[in-house]
Amino acid sequence: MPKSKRFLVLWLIPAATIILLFFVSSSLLSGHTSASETYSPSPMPMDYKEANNSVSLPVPSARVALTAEQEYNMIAPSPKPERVYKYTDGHGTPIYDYSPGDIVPESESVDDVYFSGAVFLGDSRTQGFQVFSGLTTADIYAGKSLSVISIYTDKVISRGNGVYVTVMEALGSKVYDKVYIMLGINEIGLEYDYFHSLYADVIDSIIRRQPHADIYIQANLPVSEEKDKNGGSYNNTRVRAFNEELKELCSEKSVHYIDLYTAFANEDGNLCEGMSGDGIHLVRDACVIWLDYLKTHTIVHK
Amino acid sequence: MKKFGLAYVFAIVVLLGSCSVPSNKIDLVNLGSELTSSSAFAETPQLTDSSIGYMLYSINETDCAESYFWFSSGATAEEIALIKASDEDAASRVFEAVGERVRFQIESFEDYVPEEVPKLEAATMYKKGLYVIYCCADDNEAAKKIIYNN
Repeated sequence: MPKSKRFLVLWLIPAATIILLFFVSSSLLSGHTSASETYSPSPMPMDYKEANNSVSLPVPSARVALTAEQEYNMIAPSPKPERVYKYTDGHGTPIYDYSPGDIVPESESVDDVYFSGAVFLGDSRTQGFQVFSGLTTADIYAGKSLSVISIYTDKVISRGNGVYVTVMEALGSKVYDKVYIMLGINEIGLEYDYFHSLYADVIDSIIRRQPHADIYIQANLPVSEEKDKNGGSYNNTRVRAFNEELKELCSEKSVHYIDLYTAFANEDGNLCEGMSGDGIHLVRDACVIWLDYLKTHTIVHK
Repeated sequence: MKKFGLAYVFAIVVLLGSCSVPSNKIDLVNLGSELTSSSAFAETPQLTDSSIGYMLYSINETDCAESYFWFSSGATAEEIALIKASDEDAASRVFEAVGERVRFQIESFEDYVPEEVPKLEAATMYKKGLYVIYCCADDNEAAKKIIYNN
């Protein structure tokens, strides 16, 4: 082999290979570095919005969402507890004329302290209750447009300093003895069976997080006559049908049904006059009536 | 004669003190009353217990020397928060919390009632000394006039 060719084989080719390897590895490293530098969480609430968007479940496609069971298993892999009702005689026989699934009957009025271990979950109507009912002893986890789907995903509960969590996350952070729920108006367009199954998942998820709490399902409030006529899906026929599903669910899940619909409906089945400005959200006086109704419809453990 | 002179000087000092220095005090009760009785709101917000305001705005109660919150029923984003903070640092914290509340409200209404978002974006939010004022109205210009006249 001539001297020049030997030089090429022995020195130039290995040198070129080393240089090539150097450039390839450095370009890979620099790509990694720049990705790290550009990653900086934007201030709340924009970053949680983006995060939320990435997992948000629009109503029509919600069947692809994680089931409540899957969602639960991801965060709390412990066996589902057996619910024991204290108002039976110990052999499963109710000691007074009420069983879960019945409409919670009128009872002696309690005061605000009764709600000190209670949490309310709901949408903007529950936010209105929070603001206007005057009840300050309970925790209230509510968000605008919250539904049986977004209750798992929408980070609407502020923890201060720009930190937000979902209603389900907030619910798991403290032990409660009563859970009041009102959901349904934002998903009023769903098929009844589908609503039933999604709500059942929500109840199961709540039971897992609060196994010793009494769970009260509040019937959806009626909408005004005007809304009933011109509000599309927001009509009282659908509200009543949804409430029938809820009543069935209460029986299936052994939780309590509070018939707020009847409390707020006039003889035509519409929301009583003067209770709302927009036909859906309650005014202050109506929220006070709402609280009074809850105070006189409680399950007493005997 | 000397006594009259002293009294005269004292009177002048008092008069100057009360007239020439602009007051930094804002009468929050009066401001709230003027705002809620104006036609700036589509749905007149209702005064609520301050503890609800602290919670919804994530404000520490000890940061507030005086505070009033008005909320609407949920159909609109209209609301008022009038706060006198306990000191300058507290005023900064309260102002920041109000800003966070506005950002949160904008996001909440974007997918709920998008028509409310421009109201939130044009809402009045300002800090003057210990005072933090927030007002989201249907007619934000009218509300601003009332606020700045106070």
